[in-house]
Amino acid sequence: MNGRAPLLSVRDLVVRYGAITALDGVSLEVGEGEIVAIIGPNGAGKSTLLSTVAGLRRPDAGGISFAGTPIAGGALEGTVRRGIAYVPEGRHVFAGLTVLENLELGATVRRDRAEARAHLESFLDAFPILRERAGEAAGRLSGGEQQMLVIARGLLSKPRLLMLDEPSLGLAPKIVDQVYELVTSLRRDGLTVLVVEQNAGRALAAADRTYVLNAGRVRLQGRSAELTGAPDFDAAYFGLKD
Amino acid sequence: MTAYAAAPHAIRPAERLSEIWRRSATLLVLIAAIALLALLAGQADAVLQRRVIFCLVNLVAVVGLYIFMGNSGVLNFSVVGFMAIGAYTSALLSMPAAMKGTFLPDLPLWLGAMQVPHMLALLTAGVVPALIALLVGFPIMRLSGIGAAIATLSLLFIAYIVLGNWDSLTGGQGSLMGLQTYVKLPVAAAVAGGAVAVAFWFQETRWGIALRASREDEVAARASGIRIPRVRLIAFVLGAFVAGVAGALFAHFQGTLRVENFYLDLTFLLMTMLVVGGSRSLTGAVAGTFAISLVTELLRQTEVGVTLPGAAVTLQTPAGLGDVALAGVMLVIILFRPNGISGGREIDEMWRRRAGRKHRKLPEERNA
Repeated sequence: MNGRAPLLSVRDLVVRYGAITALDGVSLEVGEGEIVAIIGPNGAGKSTLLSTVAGLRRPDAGGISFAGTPIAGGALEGTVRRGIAYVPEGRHVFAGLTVLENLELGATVRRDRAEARAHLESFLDAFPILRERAGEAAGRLSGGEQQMLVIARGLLSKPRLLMLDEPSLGLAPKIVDQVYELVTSLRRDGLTVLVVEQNAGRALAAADRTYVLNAGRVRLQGRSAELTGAPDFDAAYFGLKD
Repeated sequence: MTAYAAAPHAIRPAERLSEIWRRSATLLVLIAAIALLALLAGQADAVLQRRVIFCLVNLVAVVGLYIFMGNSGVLNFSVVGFMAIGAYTSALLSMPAAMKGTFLPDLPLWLGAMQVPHMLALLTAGVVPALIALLVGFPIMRLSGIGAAIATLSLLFIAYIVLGNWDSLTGGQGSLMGLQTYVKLPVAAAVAGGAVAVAFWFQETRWGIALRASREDEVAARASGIRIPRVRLIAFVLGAFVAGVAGALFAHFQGTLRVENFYLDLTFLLMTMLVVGGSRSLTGAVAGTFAISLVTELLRQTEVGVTLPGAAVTLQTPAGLGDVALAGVMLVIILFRPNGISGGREIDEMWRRRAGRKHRKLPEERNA
């Protein structure tokens, strides 16, 4: 993070669902140009963390700031205008709309129409299957194609930060490879990525730094290379230590 | 600079253009169907002509319903209320002053003396409901599901009660008579074609596409930056405009106007037409209106009694069967074909699917 202010900073975030505390004082930072992963078992609070940063729910306590501006409690519609693309879990394609319309909607917030158009074309070039099926309903794409489509849709807003929730969920290993190749290539272009994963191996391999979340708290954090094989990793991941 | 950022790639306007042409096929076919119906009806007897005109007036109303409900996926029971407002607007603006003096002696003087050309009255009949929709729609566009159903049903009740009791303006529960009946086949067909064209235009705009995106997936739509209440409101206002025009057509087709005409019966009829045709496509709105009009007409004839050629007996069904059958059709569709006759698809999509089936790889081969 080379001493600069982080692009995204989350401080002591608390989110409760009724009596259940989903996030219990989580803090994390994402520097410009980093790939950061959040891993942890089911119910650790990973998706809650991402959706709260995105503005889908209001935190009960704590702060979120993006590029130095506090954004906690802002609406989801505004998040993308600040430069954060949120790709929720479960391949949320607009199933009844065409592939092309899905992509065009990704550029909803952009004012540079011509450039957005060229940007869109570049995705059709990069994923020939999307061009081939541009006029078809997106719901008819395969799972892997849909995942590529929603990531491309998110990128078309020209974000500074891309937040991916479980991009490998339910996909064949070969497709997961492609998804992570894409994520790594994005970073080469200067994009910052925050990814939530249950697939710890994938996440550690792709991310610069990783946070291990369990039962609403950060149990372990550090450079991915150092976490891999660290003696207390399993204990943190499975919630064996406190 | 983000990934895949703008190297000046070749933009393919030709591709885009052919896509627009392909989609326009839907509009052309729908307009052709309306024109054909009107031409055929022109050869028929006066009774059947009246049924066809009624069908076309209903089509305008169903299209008004479709613009909001079809694209947003949010229930809307208020359309008939906006029709009523449009009907009375047009009546008040176009009735001869002498008629107004008879039926509405308490009108404000300026309104009593006013008589504008029919086309201007028709346009105003759209504008007034649209403005009211803008006002009342603002707070309720955040609702979906049961909330939206109850809120829009309340709007219908309010319109019904206000119009039914505002004696000086509408004559209350009585009838307004002596409206000029200029709505014949050509006018009805032209306005129906226009309404279909407006709906088609809307669903191809960025607002229309954004609204359908919100119907498909609210979270993803908001994450893309779509302000859902705003795009819904645009469709609600446009739908109210079209519904108001439909109401005016209705008034100037019947020649008389009663608040009773614009209530639950008509709401249920229009709703059935849209749902049976398939609320997710404009093709469905048109197909459903035609199909239900045909069914109700056949049922009406059997209620009157049909003598089969060569047979000595007259078939006659009990009165009221029509309404029961209508509800039955609705039920069957909801249970067995929830996306309606059209399957929620436009005509060009149906063609494409048919062509695609012949030479597409099996999905198994694509799924890795």
